[in-house]
Amino acid sequence: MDTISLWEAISTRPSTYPELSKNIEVDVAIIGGGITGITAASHLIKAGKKVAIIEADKMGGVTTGYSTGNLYIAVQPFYQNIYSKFDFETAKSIAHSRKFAIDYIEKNVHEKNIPCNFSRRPWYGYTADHERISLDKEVELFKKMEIPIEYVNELPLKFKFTKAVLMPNQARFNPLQYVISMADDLAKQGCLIFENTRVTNIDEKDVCVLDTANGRVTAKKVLMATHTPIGINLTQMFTAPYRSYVVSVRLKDSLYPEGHFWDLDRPPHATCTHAVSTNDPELLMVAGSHHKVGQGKDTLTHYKELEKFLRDHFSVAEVAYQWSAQHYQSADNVPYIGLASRSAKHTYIATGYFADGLVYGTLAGIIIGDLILGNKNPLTDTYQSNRFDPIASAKFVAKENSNVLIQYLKDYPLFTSPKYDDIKVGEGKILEINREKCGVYRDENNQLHIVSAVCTHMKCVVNFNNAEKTWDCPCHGSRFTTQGKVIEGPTKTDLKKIDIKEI
Amino acid sequence: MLLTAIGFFSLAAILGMILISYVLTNKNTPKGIAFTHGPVAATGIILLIVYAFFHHPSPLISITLFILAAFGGFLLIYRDITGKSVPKWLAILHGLTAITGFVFLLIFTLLQ
Repeated sequence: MDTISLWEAISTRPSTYPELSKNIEVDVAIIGGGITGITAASHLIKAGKKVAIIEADKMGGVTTGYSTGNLYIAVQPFYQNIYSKFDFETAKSIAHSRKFAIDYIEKNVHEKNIPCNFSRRPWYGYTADHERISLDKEVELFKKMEIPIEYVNELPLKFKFTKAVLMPNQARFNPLQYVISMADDLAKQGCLIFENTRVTNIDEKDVCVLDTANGRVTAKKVLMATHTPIGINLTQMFTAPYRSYVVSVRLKDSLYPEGHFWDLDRPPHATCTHAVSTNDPELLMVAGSHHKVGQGKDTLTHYKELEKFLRDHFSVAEVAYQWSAQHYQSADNVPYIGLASRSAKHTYIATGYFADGLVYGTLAGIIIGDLILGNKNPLTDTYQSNRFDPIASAKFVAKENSNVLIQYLKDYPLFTSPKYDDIKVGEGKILEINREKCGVYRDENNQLHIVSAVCTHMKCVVNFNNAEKTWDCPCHGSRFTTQGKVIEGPTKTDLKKIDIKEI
Repeated sequence: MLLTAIGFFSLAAILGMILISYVLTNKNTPKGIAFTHGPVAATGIILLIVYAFFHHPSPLISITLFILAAFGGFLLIYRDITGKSVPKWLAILHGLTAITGFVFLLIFTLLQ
């Protein structure tokens, strides 16, 4: 089955945008045409800035278009953890900023008449027996933060639970349609948009210069709205890339109650319903089964696990869509939004959203827009990207960076001659060819595709992702096609293609 | 302690020779070896420093050369994993410095 997201399948693109083919000069260059980039662009265009969005793929294509379309105040690392690492005011500020971002999206949808099936609906949290976080503590904190939440005795979906809560007035929408329509509106207002244009270098001096294959962008300010900063950035030591999976099904009884349901037990699952052709829910989907990028071994098992979860709880008629998506966790449970480094003056980043990125991405666009415009925004300090909190971050930094070191340590010479015949159709393997690690993939036409297996970001050896048919880097999350083309992640350069005639 | 340090440096030298063979033929170095080579050599240096604290005379020339080599090693691994070119002359100089330190250490040990 294809791993195309529901949003990619149902969204309509009123416009396509050209590749950048000449040198341009703008006030602000935004790298990445997802929800972060489009929100920042909207903010800046409104203030009269000349803005260019440079997207390596299609607008909204790689991250936003592969999210789950849920908007909620709750966060996956939980507010009680943010409270314990920071303080009550920080937790409250984050909760209310997320509420503000949902309202902001709704306002845009209504003002611009965006056909993205935006609908308010409740969020539920429930637990049965293996509680991974105290639901009572989280509820108490929500109440203290003045976020409405209440215990309920019933759930609209048939999940077993001992305790359940409802938070009203959360939302769902088609995130890709939202971004595409916002982009269309921005283009009409003079925003320059370029698709299929990968930025290969950023040079920050008094002005910033961005290199692409066929043109150079000179900008006073740059926003890397790329999920993780591209290139090597210190933030990558404080974030970790994870992949999670989504399976979406049609039910035999066609009953799809409005709601977003978080299982607070182990293993975690988030179930929700979504609209497709009308504004009423027509699909049930579950997200979860995450693992570190490039470390999932047989990645198909993650789809199977989610499908089993759905079949165990519902009468499934058919699997309609399944896809996977990347998210970056942050060391202290709060995203990093602001300047790209302590020495940066004109380059901004936004990363570490966890899987709560549609709301955080919107916030990041607004915050960075304000930073660039010199507007005072009280959230700037809450999400400050260069904050130094060693105690709050230590455990995560030690765990995740040890994991990176372990990936490096796995890179030993194999001392074996390559056995191409062992690679079945649709399979990819790491072989040692002329003393170098290579990723060898056999396509449906029995053709071998060989690329260097050394990631162009920080030289970890990539692993094959058999569900997506990609080469995924287990260190910092760069991903490549079987032909070696960059899909996503921090790297700016394709894997080196190796001509089979050279072997 | 000196013999243990020699053991660690010998292992580091073998791993270093494997690494330099990759650098000199313009191939990607296996990072598992690179990230083992460094800590193994560092353990040898720590043992020598500890030895120097409790014994007189101590292998000061070797310690100095190994520390210099270590700086070169940090620079090499930094350039390698950040995608910058790894200068062959630096890799050779790093190796020669360490080998010289190793020879001095052997002489020192034999004279004890």
